[in-house]
Amino acid sequence: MRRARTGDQGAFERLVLNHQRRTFNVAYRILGDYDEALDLTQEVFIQAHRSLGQFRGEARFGSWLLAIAVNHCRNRLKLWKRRARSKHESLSAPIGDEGSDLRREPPDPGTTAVEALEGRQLEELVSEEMMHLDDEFRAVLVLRDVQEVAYEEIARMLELPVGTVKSRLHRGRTELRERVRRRLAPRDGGESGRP
Amino acid sequence: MSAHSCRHVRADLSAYLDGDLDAGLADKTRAHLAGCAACRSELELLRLTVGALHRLPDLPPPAAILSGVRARLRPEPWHRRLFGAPWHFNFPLGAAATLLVAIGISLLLARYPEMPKSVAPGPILQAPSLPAKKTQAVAAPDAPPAPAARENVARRRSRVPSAPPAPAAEATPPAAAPKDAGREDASVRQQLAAAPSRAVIPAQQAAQEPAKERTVMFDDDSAVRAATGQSAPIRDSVAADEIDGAYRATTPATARQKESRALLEEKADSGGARGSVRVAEEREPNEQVIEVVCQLRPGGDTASDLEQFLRREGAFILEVSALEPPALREAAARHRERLGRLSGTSRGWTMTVRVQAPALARLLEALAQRTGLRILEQPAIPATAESSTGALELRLTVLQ
Repeated sequence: MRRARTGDQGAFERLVLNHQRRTFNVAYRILGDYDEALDLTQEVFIQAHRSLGQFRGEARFGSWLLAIAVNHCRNRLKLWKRRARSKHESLSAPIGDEGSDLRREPPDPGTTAVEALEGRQLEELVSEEMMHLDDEFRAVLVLRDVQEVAYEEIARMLELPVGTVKSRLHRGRTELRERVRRRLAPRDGGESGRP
Repeated sequence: MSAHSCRHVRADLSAYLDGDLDAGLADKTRAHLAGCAACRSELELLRLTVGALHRLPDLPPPAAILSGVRARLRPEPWHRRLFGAPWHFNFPLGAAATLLVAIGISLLLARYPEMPKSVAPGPILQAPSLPAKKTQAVAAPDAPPAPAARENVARRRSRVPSAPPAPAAEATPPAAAPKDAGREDASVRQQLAAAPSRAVIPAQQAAQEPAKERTVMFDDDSAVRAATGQSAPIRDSVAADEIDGAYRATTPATARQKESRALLEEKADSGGARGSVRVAEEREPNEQVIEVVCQLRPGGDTASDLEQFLRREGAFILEVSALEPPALREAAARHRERLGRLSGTSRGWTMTVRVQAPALARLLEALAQRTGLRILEQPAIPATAESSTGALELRLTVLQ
């Protein structure tokens, strides 16, 4: 870190190598688009490089990077909304396109929702539905439940009180659970699962 | 239990799950859950949902992150701006090598004034370590001006006649080659012939050549045999190390090179040259993405056969494109969370599999046999990858 701050390019590249996985995956889970996540991750590192002098070391470098990444994600999501873009399509399209049975297949009527969930591609379902959550909820879910970042660190990154972080997490999880439950509801219940 | 009570309990289940409720509320929730099967079911659903979030796997970071950051942070060196060549070495070694090359070129030009100037900066058709017969097959001896080298090779390949050339053709350019070009390049060829193998560019420079710049081509059986004069497939008669040292065009990924690739793909579509193998991405520090474009042999393997074969070979399916056959779509669904990119293509379907580096050569060879293609050159795998258990991604595009 010290060497990177003195302009050592090799040292900075090692920092990129050490932190790119987490940064990229946070961006990918928040944005839901591989290429956008790649682009954003590059931007994050470029900005980090330019701002190395401002890094005081109060937080870990990884957390500092994640804070930049989350900020960039928020800005990009806002931009997309302005442009009325729907980025989650790229994630779900291959499985959910016409002719795919995976999305529309109703659960076995003899099973409960939980049993049906166990029998399905649970992670797939959760991953898809997460993209429909409010952006702020999703960011907290990604940081806490996917990346397992501590509450306090998330609070620092998002510049929010810990209580607000927890509140968003619980609300996000609850909404996600509802979405999963609706997706698993039998078709004759009138719920196709898509919002 | 009242509905109101259930609603409040359900709103607090996440906090309850994390132990974030204060003691009094936690007790009330616990008591409610003990008597309410519906809320217990909701808690279980939430537990499963959160568990699934925890299990979402990380995707491997694309190599383009580092290369992109590097490119944006490092200003283009003057020699790259000037020549567009892939000089990826560090100063001062790079500058020294560049200077030496420049001096060498100046001397060459002074000594052979008839040499076309477009050759000077560099096409960099690497001297082969293969037997002359094979070299002849892959690249005509009349080395064209560099940026168009690959394109020309691809074009030439598509024109390879079905009848095998006479063995004596080793020393003569193919009939399709422009005669004036052959004459112009005669002196260059003399220099190449006199130089030791791989001496056209400095060895270090070759080693630092970005892997993604290297493209390896396939041809169909008849074209290869016709070009090489061999009746048996190349892989049956050429040792692996010879193949690894095969003729290689090391031009940078310029716009023209991309055009060449597009040309090759076009030919692949039209049934000319039927595929390619190339190192598509360089990953850290011993990971690469090997991109294979091929076509299943008519009446041979099905897509499903190919998937089973890859599994038997220990490859792990990472992704399958949107247009894949149903059997592969199911495989994609099973591994959905590991998908890096769901790449649809109008040309066919793409499957990305992860393989262990040491197994790559064997896998490519087996794949070539199944798809009816012949590998003229193995992609260059870094020594670190070959000697380790580092994984490689094989991005396999099967043309339809």
